[in-house]
Amino acid sequence: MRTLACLFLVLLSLSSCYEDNQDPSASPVHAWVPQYMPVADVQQIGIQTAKATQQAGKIYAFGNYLFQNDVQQGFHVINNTDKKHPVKLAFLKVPYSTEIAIRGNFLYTNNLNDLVVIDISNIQSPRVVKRIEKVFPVIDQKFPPVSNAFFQCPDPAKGVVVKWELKPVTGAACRR
Amino acid sequence: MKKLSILFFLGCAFFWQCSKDAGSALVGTPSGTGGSLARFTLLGTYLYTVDDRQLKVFDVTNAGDPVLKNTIDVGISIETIFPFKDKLFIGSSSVVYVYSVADPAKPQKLSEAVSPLIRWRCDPVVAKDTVAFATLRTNGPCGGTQSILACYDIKDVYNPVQKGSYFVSEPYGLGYAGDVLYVCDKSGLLVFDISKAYQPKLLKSLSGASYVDVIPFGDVLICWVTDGMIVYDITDNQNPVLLSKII
Repeated sequence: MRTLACLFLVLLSLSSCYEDNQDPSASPVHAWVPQYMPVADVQQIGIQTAKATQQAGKIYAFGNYLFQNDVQQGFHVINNTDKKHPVKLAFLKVPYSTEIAIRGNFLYTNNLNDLVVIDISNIQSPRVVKRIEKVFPVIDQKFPPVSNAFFQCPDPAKGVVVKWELKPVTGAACRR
Repeated sequence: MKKLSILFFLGCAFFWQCSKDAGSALVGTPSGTGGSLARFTLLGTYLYTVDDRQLKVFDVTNAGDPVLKNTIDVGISIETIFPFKDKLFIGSSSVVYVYSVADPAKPQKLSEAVSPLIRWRCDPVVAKDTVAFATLRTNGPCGGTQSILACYDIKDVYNPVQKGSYFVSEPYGLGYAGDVLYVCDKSGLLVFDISKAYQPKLLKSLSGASYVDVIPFGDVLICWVTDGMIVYDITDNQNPVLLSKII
């Protein structure tokens, strides 16, 4: 009987770990923290001068042109007409992009959670002609990538959540 | 005179309409080509995308104005999509799903192929005629013990059967040109003769880089390597000749 009572007490003390709200003044716990970026920055798509490849990503061939994603940064645009001497023409900046497909003059890619369509008829002056929002669930805007965890409640006013990081914080008031 | 001008106007309108239709339909609009690790692929006038769980269908008849037509729950840990004729081969960490796009806006699941050898792996897949090739990588997060190049008989697409395999060390993307299959492996770029599809024969291995994926594109082979791209001439498809390295 005493054992049972002890067990009950142990369980009770454990259950207090799973309170829905954490006292903000409590000592730091490991919780998921959203990293924000202003919407305008996430959606800032444009052309830059050619640069060295940093983190080589997916490749794509279109006519005499080659494209290679620099992971989550954008695309190296390469003129491969002279096959022994390919030329990096430019870098098409698309934050949080990893994928690519091209049809006619239009390049499709993912810009974080959105599909964007970029007119590349003049590669030196690309134009975003369409955006379909939230078709790719890359970064959840409301919840961290795991359940049963404390996290800082996201504040949409601070921008787009581009990453969830697990770190020691106080005041992680949300849980799921 | 009035009649004439109306006719003229109608004629102009008709002509304009025709040219507009021709423009918006983009008949014969060229599409590009991706690798076997792609999550976006174009087939006909549709763009198909896969995320972790879902296949999405976008109508790109008007290339500048895609329209989301359909969203399909495929499974979990989806990684790749490869188009072949009127089918989509979707690779996940445990299954190869085959979808028919006979009705392009409404892909229908035909089958799921599970390797009898390996239950948990990462597997890009390409298809050629009645054979599908997949690399089943069991290293790292994919678990398992032995990686293989698997060859499936897909004559009966409802019932793919693994008929051949080849042990490899740590494979990634793959692609073929004619009777030659290129497989990216930790140990190098493996060049297989697949004239006997179920008995792939290793011809050579090109080392010197960590190969991730390939696009056979006409007479060139475009390779994604960990520090950029390497392009080979494959006019002689069994003997790739280095053209350039792009870093």
